[in-house]
Amino acid sequence: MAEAKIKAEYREKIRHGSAKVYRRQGKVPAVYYFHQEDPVNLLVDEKELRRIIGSDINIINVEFPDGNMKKTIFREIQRDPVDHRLLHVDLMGISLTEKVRLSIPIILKGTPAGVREGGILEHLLREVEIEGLPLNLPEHLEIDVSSLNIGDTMTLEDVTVGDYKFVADVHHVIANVVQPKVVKESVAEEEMMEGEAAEEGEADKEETQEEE
Amino acid sequence: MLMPKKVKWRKQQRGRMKGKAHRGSTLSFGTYGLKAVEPAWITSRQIEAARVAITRYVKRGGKLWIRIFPDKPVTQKPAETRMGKGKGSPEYWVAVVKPGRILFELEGVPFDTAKEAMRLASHKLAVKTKFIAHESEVGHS
Repeated sequence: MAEAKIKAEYREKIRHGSAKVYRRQGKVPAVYYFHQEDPVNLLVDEKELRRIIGSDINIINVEFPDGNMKKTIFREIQRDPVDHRLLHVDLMGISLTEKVRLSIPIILKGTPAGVREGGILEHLLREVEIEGLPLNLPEHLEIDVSSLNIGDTMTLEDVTVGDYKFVADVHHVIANVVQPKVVKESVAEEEMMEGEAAEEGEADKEETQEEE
Repeated sequence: MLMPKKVKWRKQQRGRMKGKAHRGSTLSFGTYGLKAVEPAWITSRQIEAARVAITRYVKRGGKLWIRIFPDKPVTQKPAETRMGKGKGSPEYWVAVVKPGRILFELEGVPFDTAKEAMRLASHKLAVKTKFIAHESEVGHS
């Protein structure tokens, strides 16, 4: 499991208004917590944080201003719904001897046989929660889907796991290949489209004639 | 066109569109999506026009999800009517959209096709939008 280091500073002002000021300065409000320890309000650099979140790194070594180093994982990442900017992160302390739960991305490898025959690959489960000792957990889960034909599904049950287990139900479908639907547009739809989108003009008429 | 099968109350008050969409603001089904960046009422006709624009462009390939549903009735008084005499009659249905809401999702098509299909769809909608792709596809752009 990959690790990264990030420097943190203590956050003195914890009100909503001051969080906005910090974000304008390129710092993201964060909180660190671990059992039997008081939560600590922190500030971390936004660029560094974005780099870590964008990579496969799961364990984050947080360097506190007093020189202490703590191993953490992201428990929650809050983002702005419109511009996807980072708003706040929860850094949960971990012990290397205690099991943790973590969400890891699922990456599909290969082109399914069904897609070559005209099917559509649906990637239904993009992240999965796993449980295990921190050093045994993988950065991501690579799944080979090249054997999937049209109508086939791949579930968590089909994946071989290491020294960890899935928290979710193993019958969850990760990916499947479906037959594409043949689109048949009604005459009413055609008329509506031509009425509302006059700019399509001649191209539309040609299409309509072809369909007729 | 999309509309509820049955409603408890025929007429609604207009309401306000404060804040951002915290629900329905991330991609849940597809790889690509169209996100609203301002608040608006999207009518069922606009949704249908956008859907047709996308399905025409992607032709047979791809799978489309519509993430909004027009469940709010809009009433209008008849033309040249004096004020009063009660609220007008329901004329059409709208979906209340706040900034950040995902409107459509698409799967099973290449990046460029999805982007163009969403661009065509955005021209049918009365709201400013942006094209988004899943993190695993962002490097492709």
